[in-house]
Order: sequence, then structure tokens, then C-alpha cells
Amino acid sequence: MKRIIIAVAGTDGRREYKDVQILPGTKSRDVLGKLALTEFQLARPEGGAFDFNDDLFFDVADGQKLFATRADVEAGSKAV
Amino acid sequence: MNSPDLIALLIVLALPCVPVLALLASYLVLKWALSVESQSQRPVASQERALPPTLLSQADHQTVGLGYVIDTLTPAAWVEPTTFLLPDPPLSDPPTKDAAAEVLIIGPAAPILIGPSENLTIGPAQRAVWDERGWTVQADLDRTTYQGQYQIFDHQQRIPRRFSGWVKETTWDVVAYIADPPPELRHHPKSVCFTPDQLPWFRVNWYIPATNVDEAILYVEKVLDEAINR
Repeated sequence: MKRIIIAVAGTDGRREYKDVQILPGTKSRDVLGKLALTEFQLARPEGGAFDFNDDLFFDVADGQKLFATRADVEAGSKAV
Repeated sequence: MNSPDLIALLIVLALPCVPVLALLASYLVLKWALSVESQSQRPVASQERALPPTLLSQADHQTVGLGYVIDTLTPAAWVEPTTFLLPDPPLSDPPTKDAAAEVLIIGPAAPILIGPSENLTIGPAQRAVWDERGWTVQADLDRTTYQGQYQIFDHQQRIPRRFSGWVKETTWDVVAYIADPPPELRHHPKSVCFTPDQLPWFRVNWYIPATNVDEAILYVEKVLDEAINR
């Protein structure tokens, strides 16, 4: 079991979920669904984002802090 | 036989008994002296044994036969028995006040409690993404400007890669810039969304815009990660 912290980006740290414990095999979508952050995605600590099906337990360290950011942010234009 | 002769005969006969009589007399005298001395030293049955006043008082005991004293002393903190019998001391070892004064009390000292100090737990502070990534902020009247570096870990080369950036946040929009984006970005579907502004800066054009600086930083890092690691 690992303990992680989920912070919502854009809230200046005011919205945080502390002491989130995950078991082996827990996926990114499991955490987001449990925290009612279905329109968000988890950012990797080293940069980038977790896919919804990534094994979160395998990729994070105990005590790691992860940011949840809106998943619908997208670069481009109406044509792209 | 006349009287003088009779007296002389008695004296002659009594002479051998003189040492025996003298020995008997001295034995009686010695025995009497010892009895007198014992009467002066031996306490009477009702006489209590000398004990420290802290241990025994008149109200704390009663005397019974054969020279024993029943002590009903209420135990002090360092006296274990509540009731005990004290025999009369032997003649050769009479209790004295000096003996009572030699009572040595050894008890536990005041307890010293030594335990672990209180644990101090320090966790990560509640910070925004830009603060967590080490960006700096400059607030002006109508906008807030953040400067820092987008951070990506290159899994192929196993090195972290950083790209300078800045984000301008106003009340109506958020604009993100990146300096010298990596060449790998050319093969990414969103590469056309990074348009040169004032070289080496490239501006990120939004389809669904970020609403704050944190979302802008994380999105640019996400695109860079996809371009470099996939």
C-alpha cells in the first residue's frame, strides 16, 4: 500500500486530498473516479500525464504528490 | 574432757571446711549481685521497646505477655507490615536510643520519566503547480506573469530536459510561451499550435484554453512528454 496526495491544479493547493492510499494494481482512473475528478487527469511528477489506464501504484513513490488537471485543455484551433 | 579441749577439738575438725564455706559464700554473693544487676537492666513486661518515634508511639502498640509487644502501627510509606510482633531484646543487646537512631531508610528516589519526544511530522505544503515546479511570479495591475521551466524526463536518454517558458495570466485569458521547443515536437499533431512569436519564443494557441497558469504548465509539459517519449 502506498500513500499519495492528490492536489487539484489551479486551486493554489486549497483543494487537496491527503492520505490517499492505493493498493497494487490501482489505475489512474480508479483514483480520479473515487475522488469525483472524472474530468481530470493526473500529471506525472517528472512531466507529462498519466493515461487513464496506467498502473498508478507502479509509477508513484510512497508519499508522492500528484496534480490533477483538467483533461479537456487542448491546444490548436477550431481547424486542428 | 573439759571445755577448752572440746573447743580445740571442734576447731581442728572444722578447719578443713573453711575453704568450702568460703567458696559457698562467695558463690551466693556473686549470684545475688548478678540478680540485682539483671533487675536493673531488664525491662519490665510492660516496658515498651525503644523504637523511633516515627515508628511507634503509645497509641500504636499494646503489650502482651512474655515480654512481647504487638505493634498496630499504621504503616508509613516505607514500612511494609501493618502488624508485627517485637520480642524483648536479649539481655546482652538492650535497645538504646542510639540503635534507633541508626535506622537507615533506603527507598526509591523520585521517579525520572524519560520517553521519546513528540514526533514532528512535516508533509508537503499546499502549493500550486507553478510553485511546486519552481516558477517565479510577478504581479502587475492587469496581469500576472509567471516564469520558469517546463520539465520533462527523457526516458530514452534517461536525462531530465527543461525548456524555458513563461505564462501570462489575465482576467480573460491565459497565454503560454515556450522557448526553443525541442525538434521532436515537429512530429507531434499539436506542433502547428506552437507558433513563433518573438524568437526564440513560441506561443501556444488554445482550442480549449487553460483557465489558470497551472493548467497551462501541465498541458505544455504533457505535449512535450508525448513528443519526446512516444
